[in-house]
Amino acid sequence: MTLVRTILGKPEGAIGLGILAILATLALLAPVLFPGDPLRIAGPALKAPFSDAAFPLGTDRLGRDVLAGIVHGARTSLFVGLAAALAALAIGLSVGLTAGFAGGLADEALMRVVDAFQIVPGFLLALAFVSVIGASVPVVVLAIALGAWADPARLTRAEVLSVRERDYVSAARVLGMHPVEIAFREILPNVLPPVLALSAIIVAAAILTEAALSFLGLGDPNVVTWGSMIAEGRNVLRSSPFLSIFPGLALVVTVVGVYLLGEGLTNALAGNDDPPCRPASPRRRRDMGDPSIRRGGEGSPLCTIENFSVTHRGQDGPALNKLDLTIRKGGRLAIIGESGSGKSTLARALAGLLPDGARAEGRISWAGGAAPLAGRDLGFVLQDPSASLNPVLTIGEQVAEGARQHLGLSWPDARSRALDMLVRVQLPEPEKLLKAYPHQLSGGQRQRVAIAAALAARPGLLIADEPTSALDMVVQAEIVTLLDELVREAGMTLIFVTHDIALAAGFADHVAIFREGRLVETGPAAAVLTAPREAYTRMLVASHRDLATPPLIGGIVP
Amino acid sequence: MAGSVNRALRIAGRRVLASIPVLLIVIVLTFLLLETASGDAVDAYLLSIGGGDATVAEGLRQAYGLDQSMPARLWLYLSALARLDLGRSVAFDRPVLGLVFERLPNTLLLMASATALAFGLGSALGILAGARPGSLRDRLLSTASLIVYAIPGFWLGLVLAIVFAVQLRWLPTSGIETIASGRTGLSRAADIAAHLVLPVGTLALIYTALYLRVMRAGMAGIWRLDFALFARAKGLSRRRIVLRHVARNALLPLVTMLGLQSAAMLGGSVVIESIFAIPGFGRLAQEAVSGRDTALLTGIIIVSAVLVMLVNLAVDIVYAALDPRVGASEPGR
Repeated sequence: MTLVRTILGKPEGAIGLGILAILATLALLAPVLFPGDPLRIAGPALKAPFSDAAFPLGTDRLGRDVLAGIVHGARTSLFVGLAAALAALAIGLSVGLTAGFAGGLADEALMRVVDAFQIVPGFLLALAFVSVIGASVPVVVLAIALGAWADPARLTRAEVLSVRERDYVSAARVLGMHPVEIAFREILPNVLPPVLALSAIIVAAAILTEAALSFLGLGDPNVVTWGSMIAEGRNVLRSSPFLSIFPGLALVVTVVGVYLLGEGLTNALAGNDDPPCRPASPRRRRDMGDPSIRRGGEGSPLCTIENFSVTHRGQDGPALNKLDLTIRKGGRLAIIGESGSGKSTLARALAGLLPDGARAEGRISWAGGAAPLAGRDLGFVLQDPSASLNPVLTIGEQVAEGARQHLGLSWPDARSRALDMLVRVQLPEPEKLLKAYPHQLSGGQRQRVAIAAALAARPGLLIADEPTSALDMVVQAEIVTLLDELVREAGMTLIFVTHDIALAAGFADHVAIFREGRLVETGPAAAVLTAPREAYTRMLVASHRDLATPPLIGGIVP
Repeated sequence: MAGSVNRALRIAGRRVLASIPVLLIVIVLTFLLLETASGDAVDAYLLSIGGGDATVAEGLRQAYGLDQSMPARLWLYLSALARLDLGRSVAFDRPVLGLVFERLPNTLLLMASATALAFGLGSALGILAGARPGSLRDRLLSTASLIVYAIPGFWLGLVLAIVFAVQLRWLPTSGIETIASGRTGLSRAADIAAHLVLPVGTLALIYTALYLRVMRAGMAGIWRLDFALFARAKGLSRRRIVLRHVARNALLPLVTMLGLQSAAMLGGSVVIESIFAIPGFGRLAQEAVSGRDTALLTGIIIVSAVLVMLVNLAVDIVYAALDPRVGASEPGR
């Protein structure tokens, strides 16, 4: 199965599966390896470990073989852990599916029961249950399940609610499929993966709960368990601590195995191969200012890109392939391409913000020598303003922090700078906004805030990576107008990444067309868009017949 | 600021209202569970004092209302609860409420110290690990925390007791304070503190591992988000990106975990208190189990449910203070 292969592909999954496979084999072979009742007296009492080949781990107070006990104990631990987790998952899945699918009053009532089971400590419940019914393996299994089913029930219900309204489920409903059939055929397969990921934690908790119960003397007295062995060793803890230590180590190894397997399973189910984007090593050019970006020399090269390629970690082909491009000072360059064309990779490479593990080759040389420092020399605006602002910090702090960092301002000064910026991006009631949080703003307002934050330290270059794609048409036009004004006022260089050739046409003086990591064509916007040399550009232009319609902002269409 | 206080109060009020039916369910469920017991508290009591004749048993049952029908007993119990009367413990021959409140402070002290320690240490180490996911430091901390979190609390307690109390003789192994020592004031506090080092350390170590893992996982997820990239694009210092942008957001699931774990920690106090012989709430539960003390066991479960509820309420208020989005869609903002 591919899932097993994926789990084995990562060290945690492989080690976890290995540990559990060995333990399961030992548990299954226990009657063969150590025949007879492990609770019977086998030799002299309190033999020290590693002193007698017949009893490698020694004997306890009654002369029972410790190693035999541990191997037999694995049977109880693994069986109770698995059975209790399965029972908890079965109850949790049924309750969660019913609640999520039924909705209304039934959902409300079931969830209150789930709440009740979540606020009662599961261990106390298991304790009470076992003591009331009497200790035996099935009762212990049930008791542990009783304290553990609420989490999977809540998770299942949440997952059901999230898939319930999706198109394929609605379609099944419209087609008249029976609700039970929908639940099993359409919903369960989608709900199962996150619940499976939770199951490892439930198995581990069940093993630990069983051990704690039998440690307190509430396990089945007729089987040997690690918990009861630890409790037994406690009586001679001072003289023979190993009697308690060995079974405890067996417990730790088992639970580690379950956790590792669970992590492998979670990663495999999530397809979690991409490394998290984390900051690259600190950049050392902090103090090498680059005034040349800002000052004079309109039209002279700001940045020359030669034979530049980028390959992202875990990908075969390069995202950018042998790129040659010159960016002119004071210009407005539109980088145009479909998704996967490498345009965003270029934007991030220019800003020094390539994701961790991306491999860059070739040269990017900047006028003035040092590369611009993101935030200070170049501003960067991302596509989705609702994702690019930190949800728990105030607008004021998020706009001010860049100014404080790069302009050497105190917090109060940085805040008044932030206020200026909010006025500059034409946001209403800027003073109130300083104290507001992103969720209180509309999408267009958030993008204005992001632009204000990106420009707070007065950079000479602005890179905008699809800054309007997440916004609706009217707001798009407003944001483009704003960018146009800001760039003009400050004499900034603008690099505008977009898939929208119409937008670029009304805005840029130069364009660069990208496709599949390669530069297709570049040149003055008017020339390239009216008389494209390449077939791909011609196709792009042709597919946007509305180029002839009035552009979003005042007629600079060539 | 007044707005956020209002928001917190509104959330608290709603939670208290929502908790009433949940608490009723808890009461009924525990009552039903304990009703299924074979033999009642009177049987257990008579057994413990070496037997008694049927008239004595009958008299006791009448005195405690145990001879009535089940719905009648449930109604009796509910109406008594409404008067904050949790019944009488047969084993201790005392009111349950008094017993519980006598034992609760020790457990609360144990749990609060362990939680504070674990939360502080766990989040700090989690930030160290999550600052650079995938780095050597992260791998070491993640592996160590995985192993520590797999250790059963009662066994860790025993091992720590062997090392620090038996071998090194640094710390006392049992009790909450030295009995009949006549200490007062600071000296008594120091004595209690010394007794708490091992049990608190045991609980805190395990929960440190948990909080480390939650913090680290949260940060690893947040590094992928756009606002982490945007913070880098602003050229902020690494320290500010890690603490103010990434860790600050990863703190939210950690606070949630604080509430979720309170029930598990209360359950865990049973074994920890049993090992270190701390006369607390958890040990009372064990004593109730061995004494088959129905009223006491029911009372313990209900009080622990109320306790967990209160902790969750506090956590919700803290969460609302940390996350401005909570309750924002409410009318009347």
